[in-house]
Amino acid sequence: MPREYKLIFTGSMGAGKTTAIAAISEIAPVSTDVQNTDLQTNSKATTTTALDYGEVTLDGGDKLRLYGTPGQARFDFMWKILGVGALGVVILVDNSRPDPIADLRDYLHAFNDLARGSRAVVAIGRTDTHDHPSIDEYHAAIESFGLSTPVLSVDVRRREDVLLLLDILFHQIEALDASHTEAVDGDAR
Amino acid sequence: MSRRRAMTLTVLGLSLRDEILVKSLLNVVSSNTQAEWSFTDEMDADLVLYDPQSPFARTTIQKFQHSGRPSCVALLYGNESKDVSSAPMPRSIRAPLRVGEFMELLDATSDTGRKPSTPVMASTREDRMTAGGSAGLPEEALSSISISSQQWLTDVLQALIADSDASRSKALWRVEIDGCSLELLLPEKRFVLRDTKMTIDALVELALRVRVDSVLRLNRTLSDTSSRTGSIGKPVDALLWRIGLRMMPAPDAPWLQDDVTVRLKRWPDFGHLGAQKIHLAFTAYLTKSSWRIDALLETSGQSRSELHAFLGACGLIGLLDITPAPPSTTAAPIAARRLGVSGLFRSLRNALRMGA
Repeated sequence: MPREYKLIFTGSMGAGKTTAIAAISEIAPVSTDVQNTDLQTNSKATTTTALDYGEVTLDGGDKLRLYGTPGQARFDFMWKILGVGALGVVILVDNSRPDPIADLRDYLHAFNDLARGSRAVVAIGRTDTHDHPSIDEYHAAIESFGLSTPVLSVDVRRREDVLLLLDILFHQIEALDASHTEAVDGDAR
Repeated sequence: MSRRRAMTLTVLGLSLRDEILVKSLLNVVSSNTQAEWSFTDEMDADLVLYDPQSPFARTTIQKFQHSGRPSCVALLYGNESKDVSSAPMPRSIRAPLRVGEFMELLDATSDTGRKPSTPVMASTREDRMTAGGSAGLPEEALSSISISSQQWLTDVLQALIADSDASRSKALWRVEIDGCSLELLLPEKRFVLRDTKMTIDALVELALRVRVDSVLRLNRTLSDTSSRTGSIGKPVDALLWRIGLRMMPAPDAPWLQDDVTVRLKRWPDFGHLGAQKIHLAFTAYLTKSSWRIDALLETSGQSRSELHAFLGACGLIGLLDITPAPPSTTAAPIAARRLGVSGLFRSLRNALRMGA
């Protein structure tokens, strides 16, 4: 029976969740974008009110399901629901926002279990026009959670950048699995 | 013209990063000190900078103090009280090292007749390295530091970054190398190439074979540079990373030895560095735990030169921790067959056309 895996893209409104999913999904992404009535927070014309969905078919018919969470904090109850059982989470942060470090903290808090399990990667967008906060400051914020999550400056409009994020996520999980196996094997010896 | 006295400095018990910073800083300031200072690995140096928390360093220093030579100065990392005695030589200096204090220490060592705390000399030197705007100078060059005598670009960049980290002052520097100008924005750690036709790859080639001609501090703001170039520049780490991957490490580089363990402080920003697949795998392992070099080679199945290049690049951007391996540490071949080849992720990479 084909298995299903779930990958979450989360982040603030306008951070690029819909774009990132569209970059790798093999189907036209299903979006629930509507007219953005919160223009004070972000000037984009439309925004996601429920979630985005895309998918990738794996060997043997297995499916990787891609979910983009709604960005607004009032939907934070959905973040935790979506995170349950996920393979990992890509946290997208918009460096042009007023307090992107606070945004990151919100998402690290919401996806704490995944982040603690080395199943998270943080992608900072718009660093080419906004160099503050710096990558070092993001790392400091992450370390204050007791985490060592990777932080990358990327442009999710480029497919290769999205693939890089996923590759790093996969490498982290593989290294974790290998070290767990190693510990078990070591115990057995 | 009087010839400058040749003097030597070494370090004891410092981390590799601090040792590199001391060497770089020494290279940058040595042409401005009274004596001509150089680094040595020998313990018969004129000055030893040591970590007082290191038991080995403490024991060695105690032996030195009986003989009175060399001069030993502790590098203080914590809240220890700094020695402010009126002796000609200070016995401690605060980390991170600041250019002015470091030069003052070197001069005090070479000239025991002069008190190191002489304020006029110290502030003059400090101004030459880090002063702000000056109405009497032209718009462009505010001041020059004389490091024209054959410094490598990596050493210059690391020294300027170290000084900026210590002082947290904003500054714009111009580094000239073989007709190419790059402007370095600190503490943002970004750079722009003044010749827009010059590529980073070409600059990397220059940095590998030619030494720096001059370094100037500019009397402009970062925003002036941004508006001129239409961007805020590229990260300096991206430049150091590329140079690091291409550099031939010194034969005594710690990461060339099998009996050390290495670890990364955190993930590099691969969004800017342009990582290869194996770099991601190395990083995933090295951010989780410390590895012996031989174990990592066996686990990764990669060539020694590949691993050394990666570690050299990580060292240049300040992310590499190196420690002696405990005697009981053994190679860990258990994960060798698992690196990047587990079933689910192979399937995911295939489906996403990521390549092997």
